[in-house]
Amino acid sequence: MSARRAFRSSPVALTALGTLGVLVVLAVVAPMLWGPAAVAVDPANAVRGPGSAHPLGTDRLGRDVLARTLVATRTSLLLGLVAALTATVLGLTAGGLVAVAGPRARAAGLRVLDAVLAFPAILTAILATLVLPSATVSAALAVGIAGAPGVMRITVTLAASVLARDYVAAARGLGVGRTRVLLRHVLPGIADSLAVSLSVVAGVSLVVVSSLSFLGVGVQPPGFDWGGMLSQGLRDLYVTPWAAIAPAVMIALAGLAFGLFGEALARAANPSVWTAGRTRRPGRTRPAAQADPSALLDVRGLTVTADGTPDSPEIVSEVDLRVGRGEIVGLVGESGSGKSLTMLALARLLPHPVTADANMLVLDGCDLREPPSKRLDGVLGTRLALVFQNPAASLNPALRLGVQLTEGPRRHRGLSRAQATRLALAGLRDVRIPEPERRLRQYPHQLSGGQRQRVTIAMGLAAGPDLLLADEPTTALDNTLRSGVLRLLHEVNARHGTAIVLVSHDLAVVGGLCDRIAVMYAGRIVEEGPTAAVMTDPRHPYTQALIGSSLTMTTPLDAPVPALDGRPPRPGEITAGCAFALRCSQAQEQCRSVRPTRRDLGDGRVVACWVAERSSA
Amino acid sequence: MTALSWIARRLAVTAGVLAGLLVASFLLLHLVPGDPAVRVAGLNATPEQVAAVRHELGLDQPVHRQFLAYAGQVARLDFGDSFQTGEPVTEVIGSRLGVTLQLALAGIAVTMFTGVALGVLMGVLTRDGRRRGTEAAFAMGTSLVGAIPEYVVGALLALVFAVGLGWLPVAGLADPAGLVLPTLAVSLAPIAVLSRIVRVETLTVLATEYVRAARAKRLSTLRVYGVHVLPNALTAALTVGGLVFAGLLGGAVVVENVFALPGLGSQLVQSVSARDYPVVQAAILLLGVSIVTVNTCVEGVLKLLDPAARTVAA
Repeated sequence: MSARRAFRSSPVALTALGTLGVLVVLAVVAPMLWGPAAVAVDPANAVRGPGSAHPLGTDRLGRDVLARTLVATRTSLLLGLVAALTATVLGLTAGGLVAVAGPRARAAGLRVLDAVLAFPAILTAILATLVLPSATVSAALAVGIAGAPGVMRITVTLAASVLARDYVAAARGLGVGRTRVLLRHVLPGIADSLAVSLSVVAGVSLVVVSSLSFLGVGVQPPGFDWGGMLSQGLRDLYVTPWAAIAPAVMIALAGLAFGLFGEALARAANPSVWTAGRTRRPGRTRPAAQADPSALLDVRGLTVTADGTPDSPEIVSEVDLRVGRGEIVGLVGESGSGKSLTMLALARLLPHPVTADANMLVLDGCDLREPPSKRLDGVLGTRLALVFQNPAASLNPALRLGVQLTEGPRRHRGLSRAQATRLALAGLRDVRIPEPERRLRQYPHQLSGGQRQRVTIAMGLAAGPDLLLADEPTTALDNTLRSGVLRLLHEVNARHGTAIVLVSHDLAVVGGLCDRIAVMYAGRIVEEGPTAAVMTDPRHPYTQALIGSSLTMTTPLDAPVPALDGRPPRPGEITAGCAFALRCSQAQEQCRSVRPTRRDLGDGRVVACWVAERSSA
Repeated sequence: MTALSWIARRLAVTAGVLAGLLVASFLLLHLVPGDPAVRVAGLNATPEQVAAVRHELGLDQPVHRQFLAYAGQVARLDFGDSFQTGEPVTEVIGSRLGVTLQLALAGIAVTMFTGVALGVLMGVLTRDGRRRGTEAAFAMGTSLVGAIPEYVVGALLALVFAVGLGWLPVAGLADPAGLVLPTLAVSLAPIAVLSRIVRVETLTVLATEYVRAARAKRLSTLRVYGVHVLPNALTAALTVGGLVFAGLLGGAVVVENVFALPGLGSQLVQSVSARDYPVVQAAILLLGVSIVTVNTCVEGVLKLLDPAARTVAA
């Protein structure tokens, strides 16, 4: 959606624009039409309520409140605009100079600026009126001076992002002068964003000028604006409230119109943040088959869609996965193939509005598809644990490790703090963290990267799960730490009999640790089987390509490295045939038109490929 | 950076800002158009009287001498006497301080509590793009409330609750209920701004992997939001809160006027209108010092709350 169309289709933007239009028209015509009525004094009819002659009543000198309110539009708007312009010119100039100044001057300028910004703008404006000669426009200038630091701050921030761009840096490197950089690169680069903030500045300026008049240091009689009228009207609030209400409403209306207009401009400039979407969840109607009693985890027909609507693209399609007790299963595929979402779907942690559906989702006899309940939380909290990719990000920076390691068992196993702490200490020793007592009192940032991943594993194991879902647990780690973490997972499996699903894009990682491998492509499992069999005799062309393109110590250095061209299809792009057909060197007509079904090859091997099926037959 | 060196640097910056403030308040008298001696002596004074005033105020001395004398007076907290009433400035200011502090403290308490609670609640309700309608209503409502100036809010509140319903007093501080409407008037706009910031901050925290890890532990909802989300979402709230409090100390000027509260702000406006320079100078200095103090305290608290800044990495 283009910015202009986004703007036009927004009722808020149109309302704000319309209100501003009406105000401008009023500012032009009102003094011509009602100018004399606004200043006509009639002491006999002072401080009257609404009547036929005066729809909103009169003020202390018997002047018509409605006429004065409308006529004051010109002064109020003009002063607001003068103030906004003053703030812009001053702030833009000063901000631009600070932005292109040398590093020391810039740092000093920013420090002064932040100190000035902490001082309330209204106070600065009041003090500025002291220094300026007394005239109606002085109020606007004072507000402009007070608003300049704010504009300056915005300018410096915006300019910094422009200056960081490569071509600007190159221009400066070539010795282009500061003024020229400022005029040729910085100003055009920040014009759009600046226009948005200026609308907001105009609204704020109008309100602050009115405040000054309200306080008696702005527009001086016989001139009048809304702020001054409001302050006079408040004195007779009990008798003629309209004398206060009318200017108050106008100030609020004008301030709001400028503010909302600016916001609408900002939305139009960045529509992606604001586009709306609908969500609907389908009911689960598919019948449940009988779960395999020997399997710890039995998943059948797991499908994950972007938002759960019938025509929403499938990200994961009909995944079947069985994990035996104490088994280590590797889930391999390129990034974006749906491995991580499959894991999150198993743990019922999919981000809204991504929705999962399955024919069967059973963990040790418990149906994980049932609606959220305390019982389900108990099952997932004790039987299942997750280890995420980035150990630095999966520990809460604000909480001590002791809290993070004990809260799970305390909730689900009803342990006391002391019991849970003993358990956590044992867990930390298990994952070979030195000085566990001290670690419990520490925060995540006090640990090294490898230690953090060990701690997240200990955190996952704290509840004594039967199944550990490890999502790329070594990807964010240095090569030297990887083998350590993998060895640790192996030990955990051997010592506690914890089954593991290891998600990785790295065949070498999976091959060394797993009993079985499942290969995912474009949201589907395309090949599955015992590790040794799949690694030495891959049947699916995609698996063959994966194995072919991974380098080992024995890869001849002079042979060309086979690589896979192209990219996997995105969700929604997948057509009738095999998703891999476009990149497959062995693809045939059937591959492009009919999706291959999963075929059992015996010895626990399954493959979904027409070519592999034909060659094995 | 260790805690000590942080404090030392912070104190140096604060001292610099205060020195700037001192110079600015001193220059105020000299930047004002016209001869200060004439203004003090009055327009009808004879040239001899003006000369006497000039000598009395030290205005016949070189500027740097005048500044040193001024700095010395400030150090002794001696701001001279008010032009208007002849009372010592410290007494004029002192008698106004209590009201301003009451209003500022009540305002910041209401703002922080309501703003943070509302922001976190909205963040939780609208996470991952849920409840678009609620989100739109919240955005609309906070823009509305945030855009209406506080004295208009104050006037409307006075109209509805004091004049219309007669529940609360419209002006003055005869009884504590008199503080209710001014507090509401100064809090509404900051609540709108703060709750928007806290909502966005909450959304950011909710999207982090550590919150997903906490959810993976199947903790209670209260624990996930209260223990894992809230502390991490509070940083921005505290920063904004410091600015709001600084604004309330000096910026409640307008609301004090609406409700006829005898606070520092209304005194300042009155003194500016009457060109009562000694009072203006003292009020600016006091407000400046308070604002700098508040900001430094907020920064200190933020440092204390951030474990990474508090402890040295192992």
